[in-house]
Amino acid sequence: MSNLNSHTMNERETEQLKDFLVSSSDYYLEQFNKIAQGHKYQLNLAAVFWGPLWAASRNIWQLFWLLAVTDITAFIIIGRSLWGGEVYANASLALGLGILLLCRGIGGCVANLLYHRNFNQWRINPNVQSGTSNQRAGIGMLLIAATYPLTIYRFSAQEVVDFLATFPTSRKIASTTARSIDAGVDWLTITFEDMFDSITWLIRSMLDFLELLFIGTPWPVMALLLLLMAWKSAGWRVVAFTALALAYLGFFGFWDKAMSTMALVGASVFICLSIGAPLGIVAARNPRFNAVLNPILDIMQTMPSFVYLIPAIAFFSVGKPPAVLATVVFAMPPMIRMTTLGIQQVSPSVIEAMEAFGASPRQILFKAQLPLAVPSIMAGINQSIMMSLSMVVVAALIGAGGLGYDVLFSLQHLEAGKGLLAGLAIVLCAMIMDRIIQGHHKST
Amino acid sequence: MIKDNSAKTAIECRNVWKIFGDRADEALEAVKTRGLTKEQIHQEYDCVVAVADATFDAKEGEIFCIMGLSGSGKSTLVRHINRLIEPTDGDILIGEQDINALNAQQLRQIRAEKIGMVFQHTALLPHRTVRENVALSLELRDVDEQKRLKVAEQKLALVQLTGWEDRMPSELSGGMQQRVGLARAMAADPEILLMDEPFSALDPLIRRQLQDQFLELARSMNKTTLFITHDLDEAIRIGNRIAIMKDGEIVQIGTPEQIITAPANDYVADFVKDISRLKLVSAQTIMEPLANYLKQHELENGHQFDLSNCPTAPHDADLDYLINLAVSHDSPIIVNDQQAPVGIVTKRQLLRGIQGGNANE
Repeated sequence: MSNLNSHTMNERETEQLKDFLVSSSDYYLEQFNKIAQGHKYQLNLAAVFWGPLWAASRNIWQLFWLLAVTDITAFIIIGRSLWGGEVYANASLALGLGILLLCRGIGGCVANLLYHRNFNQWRINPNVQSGTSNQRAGIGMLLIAATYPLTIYRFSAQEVVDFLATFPTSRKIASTTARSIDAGVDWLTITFEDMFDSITWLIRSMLDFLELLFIGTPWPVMALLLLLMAWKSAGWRVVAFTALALAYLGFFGFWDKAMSTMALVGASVFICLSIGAPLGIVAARNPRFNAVLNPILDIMQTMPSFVYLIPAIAFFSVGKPPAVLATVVFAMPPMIRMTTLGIQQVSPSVIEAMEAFGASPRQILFKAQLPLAVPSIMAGINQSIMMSLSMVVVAALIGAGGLGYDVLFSLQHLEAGKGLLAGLAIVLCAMIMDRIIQGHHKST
Repeated sequence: MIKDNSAKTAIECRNVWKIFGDRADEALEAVKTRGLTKEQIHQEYDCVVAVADATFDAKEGEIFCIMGLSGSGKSTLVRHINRLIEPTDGDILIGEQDINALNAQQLRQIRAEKIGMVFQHTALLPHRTVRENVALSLELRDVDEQKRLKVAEQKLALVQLTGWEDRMPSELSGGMQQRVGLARAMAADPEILLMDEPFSALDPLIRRQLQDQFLELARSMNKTTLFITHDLDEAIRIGNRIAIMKDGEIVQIGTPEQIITAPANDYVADFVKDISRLKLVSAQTIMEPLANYLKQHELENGHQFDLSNCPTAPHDADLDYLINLAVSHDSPIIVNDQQAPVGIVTKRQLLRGIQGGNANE
């Protein structure tokens, strides 16, 4: 039994350590014993002398990189003092050497501590590499050879060859690739003109219908309907808020534009739902499809929308339909993801019970998975609405009109006040829609 | 309750194996040809043997308990009956029907019509009312709404949940939810009930109530039941016969009395050690044949033993009954089989019987 007070290692631990250390085990046995007794910082001369190479051969890569960075810094200062034409060459030489010694010294002090930590990790997981290895030392040497000379040369020499200062760019590759993409877009535009036209027509008629509904309906009726929806789904507080928000939209002259924006958002969200929900369902049931879909969704969400506005115009010309499509690209990923999540979250025991009572996969989907995923899908719709509203300004760029146009106009004419008012109108639209929908899925 | 051997077989499992893992078929081959142990299979093939060569049958109307600790493969085994899990090898027959020969459509039909299942964690649909939950299996078979909801109400009445039909499952206590589960399993009036540790998650008092309620229902409805439990007390209370599983194998199958009085090995013996024998062991198990006793008595005492003053007990009377007789009489107890005396229980044998030792030593 080991004595708890002195923390000396017992035989088993010593044996383990020897396995781990492979070489110079006597030295490290003593050092590790000291660490175990609380003397944490012992100077390791091998680590001071060999620096990063010692760290590499003992598999302590975090120390390797730290020492490499400090080494390079010190060598750069030394190099500048020798060739760089520094005014105080001697002082800077001393500074460089000082930094080198100090950092190596600190490295040597923490070396054993870090090595001890490696030992503990190795005890948990024997697959952690142990001992010294020429291979690792070799890798360390290569890394040093690859980084030290060029970096030190780049910073300490007065004149550097062009090759090092900038990446050797090939403008030709970029321009030919871009041009061939242009050609591809042109080809697509011409070849699939009919298809793009029919998509445009479809979206336009949907938008026309929605705009007729939102704008064509007399404003008192529309306001009443919205208030009624707020009351049904979320109660009096939201009704009061909605009334105030609608009053703002009306009195400040944003009513028609707000309704047109809502029609745009409505169309986008409708498309998101009708494409996104089925895709989400397929993804939930087919892991391979999900694995392919995921990176695509990442691209859809992170690609700056301006990038695909250009081909959108090429395919669908300017106006509202391409704006809706650009919005859909941006707003659909959460819809898909939340649907998938909602279905995957259904307890496996419920699915098993459905199977045990003879449900077909289709019945399981429609009678258990989808109903149980409704809260998640509603949250997805909510996300889609919010993201669609954040796109209205961008969409205004290609002629979507609505509140986004007001913001854009004031941006172009530096009218801060007008811009703020329009921006507030967008926020209020978002909040009205959000509160009504949130309230609805909270109450069910 | 049916105990005689003439009853028809309702469920039959023949040499069922279930091995989990990518190389299950190779592993099975290795077990059969090279006789590898489960540890060796795990090491060599990275496969887990969940059920090993399980063979049993359950008679019509019987409550057949499968008892084992967690990880013994009992839940896996029972899921083979309705093929929620496909066997690696072996046959499962429901009546005459080989369940593995069915296509998806037929399988769904047999699950919906012939086999009801109750789960440990109820697995009710949380978005439906109690009534709609119970009507589930009928709904899946497109029984019209009015009819299925009426059936649901009848089944809920059977488990004494009338008045709770329009609540959501989350509003019910654990015991009530499990009764809903039972009603749901019975809604299609299946011939077979599979019960996977239905009462395990409940507290002891409620568990006992539900066991009693279930026994009463089972007696009146006469359904073949496979009842999974990790609790031997429960198995003994409920089962007509018990199969004891360990590490995927069935170690012993027998009536509660057989298990208690003749455990197949140390493992079973260890289990039954603390079980009260009073209600389980019958007179015929501990009695000495009457003829033996009479001969012995005559040899020792020189005169015939007088039977007329002795109390009598039927051959299937339990120890509890015998103790009551012994307390009020001094003479040994005569055991009758259909009015004819066949054996005798002395105080010494009775005490040994309670203790669990061999009565005639």
